[in-house]
Amino acid sequence: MTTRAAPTEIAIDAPDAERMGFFTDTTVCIGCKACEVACKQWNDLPADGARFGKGSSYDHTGGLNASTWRHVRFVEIAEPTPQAREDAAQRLGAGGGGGRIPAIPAAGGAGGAAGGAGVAADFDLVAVAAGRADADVDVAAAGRADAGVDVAAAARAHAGVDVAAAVAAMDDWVFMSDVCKHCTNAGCLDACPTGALIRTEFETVVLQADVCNGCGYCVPACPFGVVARDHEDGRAAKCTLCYDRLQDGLEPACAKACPTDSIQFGPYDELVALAARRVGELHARGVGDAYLYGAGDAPDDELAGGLGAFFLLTEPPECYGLPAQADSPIQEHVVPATAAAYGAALLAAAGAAAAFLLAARRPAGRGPRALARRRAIAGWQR
Amino acid sequence: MSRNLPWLAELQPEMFAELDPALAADRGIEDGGWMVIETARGEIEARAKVTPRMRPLKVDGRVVHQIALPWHWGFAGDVRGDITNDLGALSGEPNVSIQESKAFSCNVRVGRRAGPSTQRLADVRLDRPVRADEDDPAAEYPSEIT
Repeated sequence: MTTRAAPTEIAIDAPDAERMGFFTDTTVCIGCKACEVACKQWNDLPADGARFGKGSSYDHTGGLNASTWRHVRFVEIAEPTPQAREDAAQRLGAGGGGGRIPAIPAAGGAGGAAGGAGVAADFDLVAVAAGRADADVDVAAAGRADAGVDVAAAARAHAGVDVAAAVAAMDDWVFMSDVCKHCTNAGCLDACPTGALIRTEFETVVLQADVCNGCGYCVPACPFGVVARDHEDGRAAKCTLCYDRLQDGLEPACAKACPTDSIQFGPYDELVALAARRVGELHARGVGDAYLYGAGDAPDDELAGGLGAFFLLTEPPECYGLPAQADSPIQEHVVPATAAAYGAALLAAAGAAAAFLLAARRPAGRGPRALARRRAIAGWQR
Repeated sequence: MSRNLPWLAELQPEMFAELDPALAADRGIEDGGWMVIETARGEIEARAKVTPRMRPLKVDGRVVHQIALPWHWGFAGDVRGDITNDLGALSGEPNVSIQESKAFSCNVRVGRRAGPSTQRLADVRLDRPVRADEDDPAAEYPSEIT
């Protein structure tokens, strides 16, 4: 398969190479950040100034930059608002025992209940762990009382506790390992004036650090905010999809390190087919929100012409800091503008040529000045 | 090991404690802010991670809040912080002599730790008192990660 690179791109052509890519399945990511560390280790990138709370949730490395080429974003879908926190505090302060407080037996309480009131049979630890509201019974209190205790009434007393909802909300904690998307229409590649950014034979976008002059045009040209300049030497840097490893037939370091195969690497067309099957599988299992970001779209909806590194997401793209629409700014704005400029120039040239041609076609010697000149010449000859 | 390897150290740059939103609101502790965990044996400071994943329990009719602390920090390494084992009783697990006490009762308050006993425990000597609102970890534990 030959490369499908645009004619304006500097590309390496290798007849037997095919497009390679990443498929990042966020539904199996556990947020371990092994990809981040493996990437830094293989590419010899420095730790770059993490601080507590730089990213959201338990993420302290913040985002992609010149020395972080893989970054795991922690997305707390159920992050409570300050108001919700206040409300929870007030419910507890009121002493009503409301809020999301599951009851568990005190030490020895469950045993006493089993021996005495016999409520242990109704107390289902598994259900408590699963967060079922009906299991939320203060068994210790019930066990202390006599056999006349109505366990059902005790359960009703905790009717305000919505443990199931709390647990369901906690499930909405998602992780996404972000990376350079290796776009088909790569904004950085279009903007690069030095030829530092090239299209490889694997149709990935690689930045050659020894050619880069640090102009930074690629930084705003990336619709995903991936490319950044190194704050020490000023040159841009980003994921190479481990070009050096690919040339030796190895998979990229992050995919190799991923313990859950959330990051999968392979021939692009095979990956897209695999990802589509995975979406179908998730839909069949009831995860109806699963969809592919950056692959399998209709041509008009494609993100930057299709992403070489695409994702399986379950939330809207914005939740992960990804744009809903993206294209190379050059493809989007400069190409139409250039076409319009060329069109205008052609029109002007055509107008000028037409003026000359019309002037040339005008028969000579019929105007009043030509007549006067002829008369003058006739006068001198006389 | 993970405190001394920069790539791992940057993943969790500071000692932290997880607590539930209700307790945090009650004590005025903010997510990402400083808090102090006190026991009869000592006190340590940590960054607060306020999260609904930590849930208060109702035990024998009483609301019991849970604080989760990692054991990970110390006075050396690229990232430094207070030591969780300063809080509990010294007790070695008989097979491998690893610190055995994993759960104990404590108090929490907002701010930074202070006082001679704390300074002795953390093996630091400050030439000035620590303000309760002080929020600059770099002042006490200059990080080698830049």
